Amino acid sequence: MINKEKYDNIEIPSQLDDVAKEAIARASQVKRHRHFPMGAVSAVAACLVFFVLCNVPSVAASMEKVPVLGTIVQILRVGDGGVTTDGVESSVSAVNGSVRIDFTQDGVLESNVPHFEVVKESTPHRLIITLNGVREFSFANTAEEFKKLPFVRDVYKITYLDDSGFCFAVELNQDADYLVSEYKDPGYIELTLTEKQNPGVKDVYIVRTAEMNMGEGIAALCETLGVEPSSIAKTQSGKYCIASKPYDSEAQANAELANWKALCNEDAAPFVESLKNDQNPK
Amino acid sequence: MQTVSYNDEFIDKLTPIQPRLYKIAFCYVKNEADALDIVSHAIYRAYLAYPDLKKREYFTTWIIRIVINESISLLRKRSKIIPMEEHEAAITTYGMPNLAPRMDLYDALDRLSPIDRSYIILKYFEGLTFREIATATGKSENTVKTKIYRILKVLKAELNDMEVYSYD
Repeated sequence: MINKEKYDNIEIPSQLDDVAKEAIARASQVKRHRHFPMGAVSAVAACLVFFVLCNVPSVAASMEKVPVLGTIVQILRVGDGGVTTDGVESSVSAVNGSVRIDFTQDGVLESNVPHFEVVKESTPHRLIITLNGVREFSFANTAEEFKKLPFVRDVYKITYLDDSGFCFAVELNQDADYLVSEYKDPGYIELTLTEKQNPGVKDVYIVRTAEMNMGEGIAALCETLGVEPSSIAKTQSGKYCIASKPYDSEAQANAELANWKALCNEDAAPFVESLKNDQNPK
Repeated sequence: MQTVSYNDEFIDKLTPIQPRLYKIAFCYVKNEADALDIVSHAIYRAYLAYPDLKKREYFTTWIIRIVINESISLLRKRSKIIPMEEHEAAITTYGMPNLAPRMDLYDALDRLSPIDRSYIILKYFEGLTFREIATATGKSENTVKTKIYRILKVLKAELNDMEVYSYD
């Protein structure tokens, strides 16, 4: 009994058609106001940037490592992108204050990037990057290149219960802004970290599990708790725990703790910890 | 003339699947106003992005993906501003150790993370194939299979009397 009837019987509101028409009308109005084709604007901008960059000797030298400039697909601060792939190899290189992740198959650059996701967490401040449809991934190379970026103090692999993907965390020594750009033809991801204006440090409360080793156990516990692998944080002693989002009050954290206690076994022993939002759990 | 044909083509593809899009959105938010809001935003975005859709035969899975993204985005925004009373009610239900033994999969959606909900809705309610779900979610087919298997395993542990396994 999966009760598909409940789904089939969801009542369709009579105003659905009007809502759809209104959305199309709004979008077509925006479309009409676009005087220039976006492709042409992007091409002109890309040429201009390329011309300027090529005339700065230090930048030109670093760009020798970059085989081809792709077309930008999207810029995001949080979220996902890319297309479905399988069996892709990735390689990471730090170029001019950014990190670039390239993707190849049989030695040929892929035209699109595989599906990826970037999540930002705190306690401590970190970015969690997940690459799907990637079989070959050198963690040593990734960690080495990411550590060349400002603000990066640690990089660690997160066990991902899917053999066609990889997940890793980039831990920051302070809160920082970041920008992820997705390119195609060839497909690559570029990540830049910049200083955050007024990075506020505040007291917060988290619900967390006991310390554990990184492995399938902690990854499976994430699923039991219904949280993403991005919730895995490194502790001050170098082990790992699952940590909730930070709460401003202890009461909120205690309410969430009741949840976790109902779902965790004794080994996980969840509890509430008070810490600064830029600190690793104890 | 080009605008007219573009517009007509989009509407022709959209109209028959509008109720499906609404139902998917509704499964996330379980209320009419928010579901309509999600559909409206998704259609708006889809209309603007339609010229870039190279494989028009994937229109349905493509726009479903937009609806899912809009739904997850709304839930994430909501989770930041959720009123305390509502929050407590939600977690009390979620954390109950003694689950209703005959809870069905439709109700069980509320127990899943927004991302996990997508897989169950698409597989068991929308009847999409693993390949179609892979296209809609941007994951590989193997990832989709693994993910659905794990979600069902977790639900099985929680929901004693749910007959989902005949659908495997």
